[in-house]
Amino acid sequence: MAVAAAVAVACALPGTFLVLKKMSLMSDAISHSILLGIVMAFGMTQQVQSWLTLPMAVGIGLLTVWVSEGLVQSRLIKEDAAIGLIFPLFFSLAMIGIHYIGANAHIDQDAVLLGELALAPLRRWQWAGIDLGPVSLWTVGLTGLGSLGLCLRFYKPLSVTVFDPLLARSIGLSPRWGTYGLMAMVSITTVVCFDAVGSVLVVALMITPPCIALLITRRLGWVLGIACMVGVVAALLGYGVAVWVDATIAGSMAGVLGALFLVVFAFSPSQGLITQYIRRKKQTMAFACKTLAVQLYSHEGTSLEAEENTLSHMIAHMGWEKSHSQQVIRVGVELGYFEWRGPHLHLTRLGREWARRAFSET
Amino acid sequence: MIPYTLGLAMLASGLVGLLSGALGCFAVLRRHSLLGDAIAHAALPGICLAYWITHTKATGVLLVGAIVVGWAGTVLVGAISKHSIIKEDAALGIMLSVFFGVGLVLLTALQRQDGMGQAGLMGWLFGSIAGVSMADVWVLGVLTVLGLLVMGVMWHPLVVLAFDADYAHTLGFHTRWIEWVLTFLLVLAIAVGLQVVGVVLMSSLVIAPAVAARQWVQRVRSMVMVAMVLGVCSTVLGVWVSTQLQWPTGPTIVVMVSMVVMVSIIMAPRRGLWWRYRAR
Repeated sequence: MAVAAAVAVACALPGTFLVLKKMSLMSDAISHSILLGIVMAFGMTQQVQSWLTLPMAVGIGLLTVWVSEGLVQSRLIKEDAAIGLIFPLFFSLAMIGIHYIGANAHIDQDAVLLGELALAPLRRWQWAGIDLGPVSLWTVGLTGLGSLGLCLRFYKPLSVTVFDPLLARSIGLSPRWGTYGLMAMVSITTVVCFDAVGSVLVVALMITPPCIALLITRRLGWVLGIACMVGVVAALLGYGVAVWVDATIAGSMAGVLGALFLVVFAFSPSQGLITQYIRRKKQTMAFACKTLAVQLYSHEGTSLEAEENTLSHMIAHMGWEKSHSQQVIRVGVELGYFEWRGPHLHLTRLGREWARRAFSET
Repeated sequence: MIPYTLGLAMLASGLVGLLSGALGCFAVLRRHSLLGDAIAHAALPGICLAYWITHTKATGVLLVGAIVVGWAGTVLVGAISKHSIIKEDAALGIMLSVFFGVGLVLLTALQRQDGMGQAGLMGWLFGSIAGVSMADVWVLGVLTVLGLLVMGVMWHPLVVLAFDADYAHTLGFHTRWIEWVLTFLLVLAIAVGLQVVGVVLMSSLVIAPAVAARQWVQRVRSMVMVAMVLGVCSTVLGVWVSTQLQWPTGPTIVVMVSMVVMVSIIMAPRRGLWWRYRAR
């Protein structure tokens, strides 16, 4: 569980920049194609985890980015198609490679996709007979700390390159190096998290938490912070769900993230669907009240007042449905703008002031 | 003489290549290439749900599940990118990973509930063309014909939409509706292909023939034709090569299609890299 939380934090940091650079799907591409690097490293050293694994995987990850950029620049293929072509090819080559390595190898296709989080605590790091905890907690934790350090150290240049590549270039930063640095970070994180959580969850953990954060706040620092928190929450909840239904931990973490996203998408304070709906309803109501107040104000003191101010007349005059008129009046009365005097609706002092201001504005 | 099972496999993969080649053109032209990948991943929970509800492994039933959930996912992506600041690429990424994650949860849960149940389902992840039966081929055939028919009937609106959605709207086409039809067709093509190459590699089969065809020709009609031919040739060849070399089928097909793309990019008259190099 600690591993899952560490993975969540390590993924959320580079993920935020990916989302902001509109390169979210690069994480999907990289997480698939680095398998080729892992398989190649295995082919050379006959060990699942060797010193070659990380450099090979990162190399292949960057190769993916480089080839798809090259294809786009040749103007023969659009960006989306280029990404969509490269990574299935690399993944296929990796699968054929696995086929050759044979069944005795410890990499198999399912483990790649699902990850085996349940096994993570079993592989422990022992030093001089002292149990130092699961190996993957250390590797993931170090990677997370590394990217946190990089984010803090390069916070300014990174945010400038993300939001305004032209400005970045004009003040002497290279957006290209920024992109490749980011991609290297994504590749490293993916490789490290890979064997704990599998390729799919890496994508989910990289993209979904920053998106949730973006729905809540617009400040980069906050986005990074909230994304990390969301990731950790999802890790803990996902673990619970997985134990409850007895299914893959990685998958249920992704599911929890999806559910969280939907909730925030609906209820986010600034732009949730339902929030927007309620706000629009409120605005309609406020506007209707104002119109009615102006209407009452313009007839105030005239001979027609007695006739104009009845409910039936209002329905006819404003062209509103009866229920709508009643609702508008109720809201107005509650807010203290109108009051009933017998069958007639009158402005209160507050309402008169309000109407006069609205009147003089126009 | 080709053995019976190999023949069936070739027939099935040929149908898949035909349909995804044709519809892939529209996805690529609309720059929705990666939608294919997302739909393929989203189809997994659909397949699992269909199995969970009906307890059959009949291709037709599972495909209905895949189509329904895949389509729902696409609609969701549209809603997210339309109503919030989340961009389409991020929405696709979320949909892809979350749906796939849920699919894996269902898969593993089913697996632990009734040990045998998932054996046939796991094949959908990476494709299992060796197990294709005559009944499956019929289902694939019917769906392919259906997809191509709808494409033929809707041809004109689809083409206009592919190049200029605003223009299509001013012409009086109901763009939203056409968009839905196009999405549905794409979902159909992907669902059909899942059985052959599997969830993970399906996107390649949608994109590659279209991209390759685009290098050789300039007109949509010919692009679709060439893509269909390339799709059929590369999938059938892929199946054959995979049986000869004992390679896994799905990946072999993907390698084949990718090679076709590479050759096209380098060799295609006027556009190709080789011609560019010579012209310099």
